Amino acid sequence: MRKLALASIRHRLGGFAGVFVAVLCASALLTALGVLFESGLRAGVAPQRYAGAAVVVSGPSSLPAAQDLDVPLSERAPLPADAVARVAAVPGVARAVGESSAPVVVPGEPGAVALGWSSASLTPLALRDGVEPRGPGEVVLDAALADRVGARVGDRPPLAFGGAPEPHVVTGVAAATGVDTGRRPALFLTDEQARARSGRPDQVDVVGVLAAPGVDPDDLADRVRAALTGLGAEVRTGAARGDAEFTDVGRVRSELVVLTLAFAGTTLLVAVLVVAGTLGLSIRQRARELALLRAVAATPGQVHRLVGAEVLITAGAAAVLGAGPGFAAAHLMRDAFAGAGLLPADFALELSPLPPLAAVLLVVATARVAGWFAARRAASAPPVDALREASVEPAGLGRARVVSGQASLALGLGVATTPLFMPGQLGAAAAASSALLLVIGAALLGPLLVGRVARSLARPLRALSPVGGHLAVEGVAANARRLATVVTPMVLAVATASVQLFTQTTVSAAAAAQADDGVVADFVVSGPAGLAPEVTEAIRAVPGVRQATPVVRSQVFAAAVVLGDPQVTAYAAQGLPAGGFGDTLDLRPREGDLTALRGDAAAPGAAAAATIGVGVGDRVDLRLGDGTAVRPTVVALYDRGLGFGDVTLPRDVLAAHTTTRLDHSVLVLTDGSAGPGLAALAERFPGLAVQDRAAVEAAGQAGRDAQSWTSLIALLVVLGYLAISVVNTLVMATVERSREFALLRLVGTGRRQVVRMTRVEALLVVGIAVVVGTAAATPALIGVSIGLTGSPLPSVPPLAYLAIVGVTALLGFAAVGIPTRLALRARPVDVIGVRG
Amino acid sequence: MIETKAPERATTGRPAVRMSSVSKVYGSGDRAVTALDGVSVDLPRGGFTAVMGPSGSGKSTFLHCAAGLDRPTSGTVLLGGTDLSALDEKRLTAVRRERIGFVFQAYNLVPSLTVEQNVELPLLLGAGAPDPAWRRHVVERVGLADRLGHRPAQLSGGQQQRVAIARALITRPDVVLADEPTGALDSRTGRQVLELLRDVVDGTGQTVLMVTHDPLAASYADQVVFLRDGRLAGSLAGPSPEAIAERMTQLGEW
Repeated sequence: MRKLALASIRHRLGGFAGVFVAVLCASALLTALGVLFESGLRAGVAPQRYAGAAVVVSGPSSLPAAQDLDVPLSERAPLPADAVARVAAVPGVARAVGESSAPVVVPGEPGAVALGWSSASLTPLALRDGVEPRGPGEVVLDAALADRVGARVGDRPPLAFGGAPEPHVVTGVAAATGVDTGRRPALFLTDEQARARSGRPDQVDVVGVLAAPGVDPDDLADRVRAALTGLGAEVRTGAARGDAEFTDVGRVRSELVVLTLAFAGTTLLVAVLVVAGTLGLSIRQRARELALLRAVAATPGQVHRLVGAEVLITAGAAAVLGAGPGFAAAHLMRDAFAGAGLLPADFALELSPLPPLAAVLLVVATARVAGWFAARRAASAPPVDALREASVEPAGLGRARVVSGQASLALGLGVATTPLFMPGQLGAAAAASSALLLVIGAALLGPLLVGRVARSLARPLRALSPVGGHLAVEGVAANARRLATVVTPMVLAVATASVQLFTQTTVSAAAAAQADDGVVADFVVSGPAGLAPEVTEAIRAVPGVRQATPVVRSQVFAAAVVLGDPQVTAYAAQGLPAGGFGDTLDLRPREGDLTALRGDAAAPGAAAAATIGVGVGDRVDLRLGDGTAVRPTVVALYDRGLGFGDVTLPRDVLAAHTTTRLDHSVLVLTDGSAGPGLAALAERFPGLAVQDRAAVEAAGQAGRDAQSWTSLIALLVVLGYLAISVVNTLVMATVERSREFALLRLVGTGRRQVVRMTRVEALLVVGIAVVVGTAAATPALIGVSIGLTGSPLPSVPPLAYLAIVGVTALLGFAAVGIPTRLALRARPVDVIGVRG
Repeated sequence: MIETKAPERATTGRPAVRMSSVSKVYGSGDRAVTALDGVSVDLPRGGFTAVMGPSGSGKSTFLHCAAGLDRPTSGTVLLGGTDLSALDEKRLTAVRRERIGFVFQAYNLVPSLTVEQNVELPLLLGAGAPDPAWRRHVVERVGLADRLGHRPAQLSGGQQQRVAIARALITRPDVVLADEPTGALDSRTGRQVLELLRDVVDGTGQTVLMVTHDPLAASYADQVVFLRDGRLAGSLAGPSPEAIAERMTQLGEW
């Protein structure tokens, strides 16, 4: 069989090239996703400042979820200060350093952090110049930071801790040997000052452990873990210490895992559809040959084995070759994600043979199964039927195919209505998945659909182009099966692109509109590293300010049971001062009383409340940003959850459980005369931004932006694969017809008439793809819109939609037109004469 | 039953193929089409039989039933002593592979294989080990000894048909079935193919059944069986092209 298979591959390189390309790209794409997934699980950024600590202990960084991926916490969970003593008592510990930190504004250096001097021993850092800090107002700069801002011992840089800058004198500059500490700019105060500035003197961020000589870090970690039972502490060694140092890395890693998992489903489905479609096309092109084999006495099993051997050889080679480009694609996606802000720029990928191995196995197995299905008709039909059928398209579709196609359509439509019963994110997510079901249904019923559409459009097309239109309609109707294979990836492309893109535009537009309508204040004041309470006081003191409302932003987590499955979901949360914000902010309350929001109370958005399953008067189980469990009473529900956050808590409750404990922004209501006074504040508080209300950013918009960019990048990659397969199948389908074209030319059809015929066909194919793709996406988008915004009208930017249609059309016309012209170059007599 | 003189070389005893009351109905209900209606024919071993009839007379169905390519709706087909209607698709395939040789009008060869591989295709598919002496004999007889490495696309139509005949003979089948083997050829190459078939019957005692609509082609056979509307319409033994043409004219348009 291998001999036959090899001969057949060598002979029909063209037909197999299509399969080869489809499989190669599928393998590359899955490899890339696999690499990103594995990197999400294992890769990271190497520790810098903790390079000298054998073991690093931190509070929990995620909430464990029973059957799901752990949910990363948005804030750093602290450890109680007495944990330092418990760690210090563990045998083998030379020194345990409790680290406290505070965000500090150094002009020109965003993201700087102030630490206690004892933390310097964890790198270890040694003084390059000067002496260590000995009291308030003294500071040692990390060498990397000192060099960048050009500070020397004796300088007095202004440093601000959320509020007004305070004069500090640089007493020293510390440098590490052999370790780059530049990732996060750091400066050192005395330990007491650092604890005081952190705002939580009874807690520490991490405990860094210096080991006694000769102690194995992993053994030590086990002992430390045992000493800290009950705290939920995370004890790290080796490269994992980087996660404790850079909490952003740990968080994006889980986001990367979630993202790749979300796209793995779509990608796999696309790969299966594309590989199966291409294989079907290539096997159908050889139906006559297979029929001859059957007549000359190959058993159905032998035909399957032949096709199987061909598929294994072609797909195997292609899948293995796809692994290399897959790694390259993973790096490109990493760069793109870093550019979009999802990944830190120095996030390194974890490269192991596992992802390509899994991709190759998956793709080859898919191709083998698809090949079996594609060969089924040729193998099992009686040989006479096969010989007869081979020249003409097989007539109807199998009953099973029609029934499953209809079932898929019905299921898709049903799923799209989920948000009517289950409001909020979960219902919307279910609704979004309806598009895929509809596309699968359309793919199964494709030939019926294509034939019917072609016939119903016969008249206008004939009017458009009498000869070409007529031939095209006949050709499309007669070859509905072949064209359906071509249409399917295009439908998938249009539907996927529409759903992904317009879900995001819908949510963003709704959130922006809510934020815009909901902010009644005149000005919004924000700072680079958050705002200390003294800023709010200063604003209130400005003449003409009637009201100033500080807002804290964070996340909270709530469990909800979805289809019997407990899931922990993160919600954007805002903290507002107890009682009075009515004049600066309109959340559009739906039920209850927002002025009762004080102490042990919470007000969720209506959609979030429905998802969690609570109403006014109920107690709601929440985890705050650092994982602390609370159980406040619901006092009100409001409508503008998208714009202001899904859950509102009293400011003091929320702020106490954030990393910085600072306000995100202050909303200011004035009598119209406070503008200059507010602007003058910017001189007192460096980096302070005073903007008018138009600048208000919806809650979680930054995250949403990063997320939509990343989804967009991933989507572009999937769409790129789809584009390749669209071109691939179209070229295959067109090349197959060189004989048909030659025949048309021989009976007197002009070259231009043939070109026009294929152009009308391409128009039909593109038209069907756009209409069906749009139709498949519409229920999903309506569902998503109802679920997330309450309005059945999704926000669809016309330009974006036109771009989708335009790219589809361009691909379709190019992929039909170019091979047609090539096929028409040969002399018709030669083409007809070659076979026989 | 058809009265026919046994060819000189014919072995006595069982016919190579015996079809008894074979009927074939396509479709069901109002749309049923009877392609064969109670046809009984014996093909004598070592004989060359031609089947003729107007289009739609059931010629092809007759051939397909005799070959085990198609199953009769009723009646039996005996190949040697084997009842084909009792076999499942797998055994039927094995029978076709080992005991029947096929020559079709066109699309006879696998384009990706060389002449040699095409000839040996049934063996490749499991019809048994090649017999080098027999293979040499077959290849020489069809006159392709110097073309074994060529591919079908490099051969003329007549040469392709000769490859197909060699492939049909390679397993020493009980019967060679030919479906309009000269239909796509010009008259000169067609004649060469027919001479080759005649030569195969005379030289190796092979049984051949050929479907054709060409009286000249049919005249190469020992006997001609006529079909009309799915029924037997007589036969001629050792006929001349003129006699066949006259009979066909009586049967109606052809």
